[in-house]
Amino acid sequence: MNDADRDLLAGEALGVLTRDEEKHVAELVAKDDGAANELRRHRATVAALEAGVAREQPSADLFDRILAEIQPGPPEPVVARPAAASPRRRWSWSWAPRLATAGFAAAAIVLGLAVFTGGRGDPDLRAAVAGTTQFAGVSGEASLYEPGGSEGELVLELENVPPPPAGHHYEVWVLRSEGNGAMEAVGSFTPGSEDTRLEFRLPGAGDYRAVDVSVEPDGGPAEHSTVSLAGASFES
Amino acid sequence: MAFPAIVPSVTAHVDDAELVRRIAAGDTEALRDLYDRFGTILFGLAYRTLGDRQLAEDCIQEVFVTVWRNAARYDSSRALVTTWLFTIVRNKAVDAVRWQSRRGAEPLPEDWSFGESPDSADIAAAAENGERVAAALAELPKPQLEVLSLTYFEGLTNAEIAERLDVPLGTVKGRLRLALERLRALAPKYALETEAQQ
Repeated sequence: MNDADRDLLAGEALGVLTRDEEKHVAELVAKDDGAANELRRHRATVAALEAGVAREQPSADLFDRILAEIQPGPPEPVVARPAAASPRRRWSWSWAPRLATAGFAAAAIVLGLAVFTGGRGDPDLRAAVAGTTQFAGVSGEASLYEPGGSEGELVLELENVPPPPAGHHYEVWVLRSEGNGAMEAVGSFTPGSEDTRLEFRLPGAGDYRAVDVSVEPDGGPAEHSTVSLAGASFES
Repeated sequence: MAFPAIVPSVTAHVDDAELVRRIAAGDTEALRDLYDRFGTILFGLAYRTLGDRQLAEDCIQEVFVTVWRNAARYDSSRALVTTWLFTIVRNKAVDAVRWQSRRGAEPLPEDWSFGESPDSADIAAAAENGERVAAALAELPKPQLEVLSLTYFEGLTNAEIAERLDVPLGTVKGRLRLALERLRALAPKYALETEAQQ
């Protein structure tokens, strides 16, 4: 067994050999116990490596997401996935009854408050976010900045957000008065903690009536799943 | 010993502690360099610990945000940068599992499930094992770690690595073998369960 053979044994353990090289190694270990033992040791080393560190790479945009979180600047959606391609969907008002009892009253109160918001100024509209019956612990606040302009923003500050079920994520939708009940997706997210602050670009100027956060299957259809996590109404 | 930058960096000559000092001064390029050096291996560690890509990415995002915010607190006389990073990953991973476990108990629609959630002790043990492996990797000579990383994490063939690094094919093969032999030699130091430990 020469150095070239030894190199191939390491490559075999890592699974990077060509077909011809694999054939050569098979012949080598069949006739040489020393080579067979060496291959077994290499495989044990690779197994130890795999037991501690996954053979995976992070998404290419992970560092960009880190930068977006640490750098102040123009608000961008801090989301893991882009908004659905076909955003205008019918809305499920499943959270509305809860809002009727608690959220609307809170919204009416906070709409009258002037609150400093980190240099962006006061929002044009604010409303309390309330979880649906299934997610009653979710709360927070939705703020709209310049909704009548072409670069309006939605800021969602959510509290007590549970992680989505395996294979699901959350999607954020807005509803405009002029949309005839159709809703528009502005982005999706998977929360990194119970308390989450999200910023989204509004899809255009409009008279925004409400915000909804839905639970969506990963890779599922663009339509609203009809299951909502929480919502807020800007109508007093 | 630093994890090799897959993308050549203008600060490749800068040691890890100096990068952290620059991060503490608000240098985002230094943070990028630190990510280039360690991001992939930290992600591999988080992925193996948490068993979920999204959770692992969230974990690594939190790790580097923590590094950004707490870089001034890093004390190079107390721990290597790699040790500091591995500890942050472990803590974030345990936090993530605790949070999921607590939330997983809440009622959810009948057709969904969170699946099995390992407890935080399991996660801590997995993270510690991963830390030992990652620490051993960080001790490899840079040329060996470079080819091993391109093979292991990026899945490149030897020929592709040779082309990318502009070195002979035989050099790539030799460095891979030397990397595995070095890891085996480091196994006792880091209590890795290779055949040498069995």
